[in-house]
Amino acid sequence: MKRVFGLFLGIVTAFGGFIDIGDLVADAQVGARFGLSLAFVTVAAVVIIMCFAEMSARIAIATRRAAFDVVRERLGPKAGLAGLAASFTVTAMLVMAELSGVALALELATSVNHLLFIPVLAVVAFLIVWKLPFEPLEIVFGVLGLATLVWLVAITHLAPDWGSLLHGATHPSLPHGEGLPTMLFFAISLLGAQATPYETFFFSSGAVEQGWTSKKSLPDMRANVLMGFPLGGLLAIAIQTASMLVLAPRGISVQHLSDSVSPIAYSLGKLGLAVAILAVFAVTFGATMETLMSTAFITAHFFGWSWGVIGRQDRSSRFYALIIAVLVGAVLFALTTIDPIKVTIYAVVLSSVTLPVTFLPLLIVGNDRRVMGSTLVNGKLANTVGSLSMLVVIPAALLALPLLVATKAGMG
Amino acid sequence: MSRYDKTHDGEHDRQHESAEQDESLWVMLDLLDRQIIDDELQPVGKVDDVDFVADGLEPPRLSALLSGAQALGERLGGLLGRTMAGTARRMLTDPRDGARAVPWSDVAELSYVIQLRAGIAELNLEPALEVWLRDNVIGPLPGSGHARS
Amino acid sequence: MVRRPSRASATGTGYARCQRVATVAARAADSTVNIAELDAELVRDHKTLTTELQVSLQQAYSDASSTLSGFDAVLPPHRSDVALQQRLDSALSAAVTLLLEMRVRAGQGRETELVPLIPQLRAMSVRLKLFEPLA
Repeated sequence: MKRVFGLFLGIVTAFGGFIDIGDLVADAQVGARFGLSLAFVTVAAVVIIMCFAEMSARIAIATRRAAFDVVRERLGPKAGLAGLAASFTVTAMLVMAELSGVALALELATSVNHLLFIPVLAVVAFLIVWKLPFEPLEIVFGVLGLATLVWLVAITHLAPDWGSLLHGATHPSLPHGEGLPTMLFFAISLLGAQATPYETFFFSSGAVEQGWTSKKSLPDMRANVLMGFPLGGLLAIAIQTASMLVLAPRGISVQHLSDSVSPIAYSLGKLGLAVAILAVFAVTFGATMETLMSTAFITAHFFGWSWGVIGRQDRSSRFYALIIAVLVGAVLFALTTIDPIKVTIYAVVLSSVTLPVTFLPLLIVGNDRRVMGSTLVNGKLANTVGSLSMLVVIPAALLALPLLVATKAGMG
Repeated sequence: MSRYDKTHDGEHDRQHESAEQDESLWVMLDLLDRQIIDDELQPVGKVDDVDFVADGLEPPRLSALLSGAQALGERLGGLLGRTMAGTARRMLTDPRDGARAVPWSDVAELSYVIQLRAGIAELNLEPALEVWLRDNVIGPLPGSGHARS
Repeated sequence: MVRRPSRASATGTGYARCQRVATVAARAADSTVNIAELDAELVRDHKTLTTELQVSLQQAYSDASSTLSGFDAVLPPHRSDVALQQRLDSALSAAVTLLLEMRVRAGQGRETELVPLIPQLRAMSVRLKLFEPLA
């Protein structure tokens, strides 16, 4: 019974962790402009993230160390440093975006300007990292993140023509008035928003934390992956659908968080809207913690620093100092009054640029029999999916920045 | 004490050296970039570089493991490496000559990590930056577990 | 008559570029007007929260306002563009004024007074859609 509960929690956290500010913005934008024509990108992203989250957790189980640690050891510090620099930059930008997302949710609830919440939230985030063990918190955020199911409820309540929805999803088409470069740009943004590297690291760090150190944990870990991420993907598609059903017919393009949640208000009224705001708060707060700790963890893993232990934080001063530095940076960046939605868009595009640099080392290490042992080394499925994923993420990474410029971030 | 020769061509050559215990180690594969932990399983750092002793008569012997940004920077070379090493050198508060060195005699066990025979403080292996941050930034925060001296 | 492009633009003459800028601006403004209209409908149907309404209208007004000032910064390279610029400018200004009024009413708690503005918002949207390319 306890194992079922643990499994349930793991799935809930995987699926709640999938949706963050990147999804709330990108999925809503895509739905409003392209309907479900980019739903296949979500499907691809889910497959990719499942493949590499499983791989990085399996690496953690086989080596009893976290992914970045092993990557440096097997591929050398130069390769490891490149991956670290890329992932750190993107994840640090996301810290700012997620933190702003929490503030924006609070703004929607109180109509107080979101900038006023930012410093307070940063302090709270630090206190949580400083004082509270992450596991119970992950559970709390995971459960609260279930509030995102309100999107599924909302679209069901609108009683759409499911047949035509399915048709739209399986027959991607270029809407009138949109150019192919713009559609490609949004496809790449969506990929970057949904296959975010920090999720793989967090999943593998979590594996180490949860004591998934023996092969017996493999089935549980895989259950989390197989059920959690696809549910997250389903939710992402629900956000696209809600946008499509309500915003697209009205010619509304999504520029703000309030636009992302307005379809819920339309469908379910005040209560639905309140739940949606709670959902945004929960997922962005959880994502703030995850991205924040991710930046420090991957750095500590690469350089061999000790990482935080509640009660003896002074033994990991560099770790905590880095967390403070990232938070301060995020706050200062937010206080320049730059639009956090714009930052989110740039962050997810950058994220897609870094995907090959992040995932390829995992693929290489996963195939290293000497490190993984012959029972845990990548099987045919992992290698096939992993290699096919590279065929997707490499062109996406190459096209991302040129398309960003050419389409003016989709605004041109 | 001769330093690991920087004209040596990068990380992927096989350098076969003997350790004091007469165990042959593939330096590149078995030692470099491994995690070092102390006897309490606390992370000490990575093996960022290694030091050899050559006295002309015998083949060069491994004398110490080097850890820290300075060691890594010097090993990486290039603009990035030199910047890293230079910054690390500037941050040294006490005149320790070069990067942290773990004498081979302090190594207790080699497995998937390199375990030392004693605690990090005992072996005088605390990184300067860590100590400074502990004393000035993190330690003073309430609840850090830092005993004020 | 051979016309030299006034700026190095990838897609040809200055007029086409001005038209593209106009289309982009009109679409952006149309979106803000439509958001405001959705908000007003949600008020009418008692489906929204006051705080969200205020934030949404504030942002709609702010976006429309910056679209207007951004567009005004574009100088027409050719005589025939002046007419286009003036038409769009007046449409954008009207939209900004309307949205400001809505923001004010929402801020003062006069939400129900937003509902009668729905027909005006509708008309505004139709007016802005006239700037879509005739392709």
